[in-house]
This record gives sequence, structure tokens and C-alpha cells, in this order.
Amino acid sequence: MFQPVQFGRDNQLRTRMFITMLGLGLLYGVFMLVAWQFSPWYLSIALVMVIIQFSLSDKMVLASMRAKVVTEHEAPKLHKMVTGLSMKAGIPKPKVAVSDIATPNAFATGRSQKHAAVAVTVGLLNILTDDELEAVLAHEISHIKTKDVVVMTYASFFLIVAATMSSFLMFSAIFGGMGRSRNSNAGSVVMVALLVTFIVRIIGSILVATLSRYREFSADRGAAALTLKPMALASALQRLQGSMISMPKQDLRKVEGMNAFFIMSAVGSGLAGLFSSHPSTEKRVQRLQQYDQQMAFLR
Amino acid sequence: MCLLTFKRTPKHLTWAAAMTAMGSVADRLEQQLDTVTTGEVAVLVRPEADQSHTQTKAELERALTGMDRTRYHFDVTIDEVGHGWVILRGDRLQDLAQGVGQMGDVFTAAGLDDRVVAAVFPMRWYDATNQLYRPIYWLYQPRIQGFTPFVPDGDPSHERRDHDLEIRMEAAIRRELPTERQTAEWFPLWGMPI
Repeated sequence: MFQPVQFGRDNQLRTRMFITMLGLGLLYGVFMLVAWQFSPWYLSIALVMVIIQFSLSDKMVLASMRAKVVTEHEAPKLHKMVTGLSMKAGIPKPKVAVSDIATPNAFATGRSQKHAAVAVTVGLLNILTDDELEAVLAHEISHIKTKDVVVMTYASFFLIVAATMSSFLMFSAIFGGMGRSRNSNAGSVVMVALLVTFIVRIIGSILVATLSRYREFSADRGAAALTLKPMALASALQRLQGSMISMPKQDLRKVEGMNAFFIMSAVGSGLAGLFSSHPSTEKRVQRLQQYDQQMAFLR
Repeated sequence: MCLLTFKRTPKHLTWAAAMTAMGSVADRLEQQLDTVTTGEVAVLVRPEADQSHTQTKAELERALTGMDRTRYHFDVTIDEVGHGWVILRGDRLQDLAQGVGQMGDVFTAAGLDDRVVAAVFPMRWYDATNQLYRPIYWLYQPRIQGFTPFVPDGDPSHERRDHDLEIRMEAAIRRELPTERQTAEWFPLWGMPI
């Protein structure tokens, strides 16, 4: 009987994800308590708006990326790859969509495995080899298998609530608002609530981005397990990032006179790295190289 | 005695140290990575401005009088763009690396060290999937003090590289050899006389 591919456990990664999610849970718990105390109306309205937004998110994401669901007849190669990979992963076959955007990219969406879709842009189809394309699709399938879309949706839920609330509060602070007539301290209440939402947004953004980076590593690992070709994904990532394009094509003899001395570019992303939803390509490629060495005996 | 040994990845090495490093990884390259030396190594030297092919060759041969000819077998050839190639021949990669190390001293003594572009180590890698040997090259560039891989894709009708294999090769050896991580420095060398 066919057995789905098991991705194996990366305990270090799982522990990090658990700690990050715990941190988010605590942060959001405190936020809810404080927000409910200070401005229950704003919180309720923001919650309703975000719930509506999330319930429509599948279609909104596809529409915002100008992605159209395609049939097997329209995209046989894509369908064949997605069918094979979802069978290996042991999940229902997701819908396949193609966006007419020229920027190479791919994404998975859907509130559950049954409602999932994998989308690729025309730009991606144009630049990747078949192995690389399969590796990218395997990465997206891994996101679906591990319910990353759902996890990240929940993880960022209260972040968006906080952002929506802070917009309301800003509006209220600028134009005067709810509660002023009832309570002389309303202005300071609004300011405290604004401060709380601001802090939640900053810390929440860092934690959500951290979680997202961990889940990208996890999806890379899943893709490596599905295809047994980690380097195909590494190659695709490099190509997507443009480093393949920047890999020199000029012969060494034509350029060696230009730079006389040892040159090293500065490394380090600093503060910006904290808010990045994806790990650096270099780090991802390094991990994929490790997987490649570990999997050498399987090929 | 330590139970654990921590091996540091070499970062950037001078010519002599880099050649020693290449000599010391020869066994690993051959036994674990299925790459064998072709029996040749080359040192690529840039010509002076307005220098003719004959002058470049004569200058290199003059400088190489300091090399031990009883121990090392080498020739000088000039390529179509006027660069000089000193091609060293031998059976063992360790000996070839040692010879290239000595050549560095010879070129330094002759004042040519700032014109040395690269040391090129051509090898053959056994592609088990397709059951054939493929050429791969390790280039040591003194400018960046690091080794970079260069793997043509095997089709002589065009000049294209196998980036996937280059990345894999670099990853496999980076702990032992001072490789350059910045792919922007991974320059190709087409039409080599080796």
C-alpha cells in the first residue's frame, strides 16, 4: 500500500516554533485582556472585520495575485507534478492556479487542505527548469501538508486585529470620539490603548515573522523529503533571488584586472532581518546542502 | 586528549597555504567525492600591456628557471587572448599542489606575482547517474584568496555552466578547502589549454 512520505522531525526547529507560538499566545492573551478593558467596542468591531476578511482570504489572495485556477488540459505539466507531489505528501490534490504576473513567484493558499490551492506565476514557469519547478511546488505542497497557511493565519490574526484597532483609535484620538462625554479620562484611555496596540504590533510582527521563517525552513525540509532533490530547490531559490543571474558569465581573464584587492561584501541584515518573513536565501541553501548530503545514500 | 575536535572552516588563505590545503584534501576529493585529477594543473598569468605572445612566453620561461625541472614537468603555452599558462604535469594531486606552491615562490621572486590570475586544478568527476566522467575545475584566485568551482555543462556546442553541480561541489568541500561563498566571484574560464 502507498505510504505518504514522512518529513521526519527536526526537534530543534519544532522547539523554536513552539516557543515562538507560546510567546504569541501570551502576547495576544494579554492584548485581549487589556483591549477588552480599555475599548471593548473597538475590539469587537475590529474582530468582526478581520473575521470577514479571513473568511474571504482564499479568493482575495488568488484575485490579488491575478491567479486563475487552471485545468489539466490548460496546464498538464503543472497538474502532473502537483498530483504526484500531493500523493507523496498524502494530502488531497490542491487546486492549481497560474498568475499572469511576470515576477517569478509561487504560493499556497487555502483555509484547509481540502480548500487549498497552489499558484505559480508565468514568470516562474519561464525561468525554472522542470526539476526546480517541481522542487518549488513541493515546497508549497509542504506548506499545505503542515497547515502553514492556517497556522500563519491564526498567528497573525490578532496582529491584524491590533492594526485595525489602532486605526480606529488613531481616528478617535484625532477627531475626538467615543466615551469623551462619559469619561473625562477618555483621552488618556485612548492613548494607553494606542500604546498597547503599538507594542503588540511591534512584538507580534517580530514573533510572526520568526514563526514564518521557521515554517519556511520546515517547508524546505518537506520539499527535500518529497523530491529527494534538495539542490533543485536550492538552485531555484538562487535563481529566484537573482544570484544565478548575477553569477558571473564573463571569463575570468576579462575581468581579473578590474579589482586589484580582496573584496568582501558586508554581511548582516541587522534589524530588518527581524521582520523578514523568509530566511535569507543563503541560510536556506546552506540547510538544503546539508539535506543533500544526508540524502545522498537515498539516491 | 580531547574527545571532540572542532574543525574550523578555512576562510581565506595565501597562495602557499591554499596549495597545502589542496594537497591535503586530495584523498577526500578522490575517495569520497569521486573526483580524480587529470594529471595536470595550470597557473594562469596575465600579460603586461602591449606584450606579445612571444615576449610573455619568454618572460615566463625565464622566471621558471628557478623551478626544479628534475622534480616537476611543465610547459608554457600562450592562449588566444595572450594569457600565459604554465602547465604542470604529474600523477598525484598532492605533488601537483606542492609544485604550484613552489611556482608561487618563483613568480614572487621574479616580480610576477601581481600578474598571477589563478591556479587551475582540472579534475574529472564520476557522474554515477549518467555513468560518465565530467570535467570540473577548481580555480584558486589570489585576488580573493579562495577557491571557486567551475563546471561546464558538458555540451561543447555552447558555453554554459552546471550551477547545480558547482553549488554541490562547493558545499561538499567547503569545510576542508578555503572556498569563496560569494557566487559573484565564481568566474568561468572557457577554452583552457588543459
